[in-house]
Amino acid sequence: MSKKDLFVTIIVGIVGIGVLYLGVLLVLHDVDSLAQSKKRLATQKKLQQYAEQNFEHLQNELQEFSDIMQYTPQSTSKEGVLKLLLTYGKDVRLKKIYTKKEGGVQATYYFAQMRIASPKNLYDLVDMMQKKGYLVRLEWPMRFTKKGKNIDVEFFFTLYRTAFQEKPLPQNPEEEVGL
Amino acid sequence: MECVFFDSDAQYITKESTSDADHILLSHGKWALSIPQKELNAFIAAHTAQNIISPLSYLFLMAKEPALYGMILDDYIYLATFQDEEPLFVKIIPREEVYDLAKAIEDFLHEFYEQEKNFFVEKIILYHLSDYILPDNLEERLLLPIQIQKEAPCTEAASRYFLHSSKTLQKSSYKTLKKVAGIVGILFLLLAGYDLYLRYTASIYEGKIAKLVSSQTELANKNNELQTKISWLRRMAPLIRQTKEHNSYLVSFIRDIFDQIPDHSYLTFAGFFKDGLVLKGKTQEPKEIRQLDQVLSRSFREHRLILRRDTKGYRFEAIYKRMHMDNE
Repeated sequence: MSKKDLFVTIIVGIVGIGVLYLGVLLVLHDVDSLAQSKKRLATQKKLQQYAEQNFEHLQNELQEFSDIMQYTPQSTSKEGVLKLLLTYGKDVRLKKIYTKKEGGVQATYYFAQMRIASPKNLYDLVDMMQKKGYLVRLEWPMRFTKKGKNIDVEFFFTLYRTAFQEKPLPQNPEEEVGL
Repeated sequence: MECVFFDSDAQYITKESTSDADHILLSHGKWALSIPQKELNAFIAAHTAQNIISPLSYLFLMAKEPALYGMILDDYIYLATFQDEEPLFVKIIPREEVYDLAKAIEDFLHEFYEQEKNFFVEKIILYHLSDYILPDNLEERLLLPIQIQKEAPCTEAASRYFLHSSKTLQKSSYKTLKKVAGIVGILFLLLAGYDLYLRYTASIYEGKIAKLVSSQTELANKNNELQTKISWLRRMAPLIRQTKEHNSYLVSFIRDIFDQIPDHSYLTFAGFFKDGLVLKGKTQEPKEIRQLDQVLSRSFREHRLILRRDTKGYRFEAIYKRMHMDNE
């Protein structure tokens, strides 16, 4: 074997071994990556299982409140109540009497005047407030005065507003609203 | 190109054109050179990386004129005459037996001239390729001009008669290299394939992990919302339930009163108070109102009914105070 041949053989050998070595290193690295991926997948599956169990548990817990589930902090607003009053009556007037806060709940006391066609409108109004989850409490006294074929109703109600967290609500002084 | 001469007496001129298992036959056209395989292999093994040619083949190639051609190598002295592209007379003499080169050439010429086919040798061409010391008076003793060549360049034409070529080895080396490269290539491809498989599998796992993480994030948000709503409901439940109950009571109380108004009467005013009730209206039948008063008065501790005659019937005004509680 000539020196040239020997040189070429050595070079090819070194390159070959180098390529194989790099290949083996790469494969070993990827085997390690795959093993880590498998571990991560197993961990994520467990976490998913825990999250699903927790979800199921919370759903069951929520059933305890199935009769009042429609109530949320967002469902009650003065504008919402006014809209509802206008649905069942006309000549609606609202006047804020006072506001107090207790235990993270803001209670605003309103005086309302409206004209309705029959007392049934009032029954439906209260029914709808409950269905929509409006946290509104009708207060005594309540007066019904016949005006021609309609009835003028005067009553007081308390509108409760709250946040999910017990944080103080921003001050929003409400003026008399008349429509 | 360099050549190594097959310096051995194990080589024979032959006219046969076929070789056997023990001999190789190298054709030179009209004649052939037969060499025992064993001797040649041993020589090749000792000179693996070089071109090997028989001295007789080389002299045959150089024979352009009618002369005696000779070659002095380390172990043997080769003498030959050629005519019409074939050897006429050939001698391979061990060098240790040659005490006098002139005498050896003279003997060769005698024997040559004694042959049937011969020619008159006018010149001697001698390839002197060893450390053999030529006698000074060689030309004078032989009476022939002697052309001495100190080198025997291996021409391209000589490659036709190589007993072994470095190219063969080169080819063999390349073949081995190709095999090695092939094996390395196959191993590399296998590794690459396996690596692709690993990466593909890992990418599938990563995809699954990403989906799980996304699903977990979604679920965690839902759980947080649920948790918040539950804790809010838990906090607000007493107030909400109490408000619902209160509103239901209030509405049912009002409905109850209105439902009891007799057919021949109507209300012009109704005031519902925390523990009282005021009703004002008109009636055609005072008896009906009195019956109503009797019913309502059972729920209140104090009550008063005023009935006044009117042009179209009766006006009435009923006041009820201090409602009885359920446990009373």
